[in-house]
Amino acid sequence: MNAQQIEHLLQRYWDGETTVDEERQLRQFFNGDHVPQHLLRYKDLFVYEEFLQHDHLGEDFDERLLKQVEMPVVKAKSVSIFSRLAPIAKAAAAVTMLLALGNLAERTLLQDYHQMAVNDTIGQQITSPSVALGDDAEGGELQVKDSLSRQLKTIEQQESIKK
Amino acid sequence: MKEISFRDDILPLKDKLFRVALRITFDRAEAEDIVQETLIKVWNKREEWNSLESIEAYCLTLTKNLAIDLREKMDARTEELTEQHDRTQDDANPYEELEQKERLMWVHRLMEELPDKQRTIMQMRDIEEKSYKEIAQALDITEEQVKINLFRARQKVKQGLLRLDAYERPTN
Repeated sequence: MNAQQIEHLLQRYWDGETTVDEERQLRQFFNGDHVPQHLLRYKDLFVYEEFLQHDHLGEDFDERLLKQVEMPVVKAKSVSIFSRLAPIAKAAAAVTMLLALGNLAERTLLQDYHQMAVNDTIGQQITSPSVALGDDAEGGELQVKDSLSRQLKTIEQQESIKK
Repeated sequence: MKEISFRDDILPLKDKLFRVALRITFDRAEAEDIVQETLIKVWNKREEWNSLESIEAYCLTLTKNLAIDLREKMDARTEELTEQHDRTQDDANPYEELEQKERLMWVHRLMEELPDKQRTIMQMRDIEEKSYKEIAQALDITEEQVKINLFRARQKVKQGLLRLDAYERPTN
């Protein structure tokens, strides 16, 4: 493109009449090495525009940064079969462990439970003799629950003894 | 409150932060270093993430401050080098590099001086390569208004460039 064409394009640029494609041509021209002396005064604007168009970080930025903050870099493609199966293996190990622990715990707890049951029976005999008494005296009648009816019962019992 | 994840919530801010740093330093390598430094600083403060009102605003402020600090250091160095350059004309390479940045900053200042609407439209058109229709839709204005604002913006920038040229070559 010769200087005359550029001047014409430039005039249309200032007037806001260039297309996106023509504006691209202007940037290309002014970022090149062959800008005529009398047009150098406009060069900076197109260098500026071109400069700010490339405003993305390189693709390796993430990797370099994550290394610095000591985070493992995730790469989708480099997953081996072993590491792909690792979660399943871990899960299986966890289940086995749980089963073993469960079995062990069941045995120990049941042992305790038997002991507790025995203790409880003894405790009941000590703390609530009235139930045992009632059962003996009445021969399988309804259990007496409140203290009032228990008192009534005591009277009845006393009467039946007298008889 | 949702737990903040470095990978999903903070790392995706990198390009936004890079654009901010780039518009202050006008140096890609430096802007990249600044984004990296920001993200490492944020990572090291991970115990405080949940007490922050906005992690994004926090990151943006950090990047901005780091970039401004760096530019001030650079400006001081430019002055030094400019003085040197005056004395030793041969070693022009570092000077030229710094001058390029200075020139971009000058254009950026011209853009910053534009009214918000004009600046946004010129950026969308000349940097993001958006069509008039896309800009009109994004800003909820007519295509005609987009054209008028773009025309005014470019005219003002042109005047600024001519001013700079007259300043650099007062004898012309």
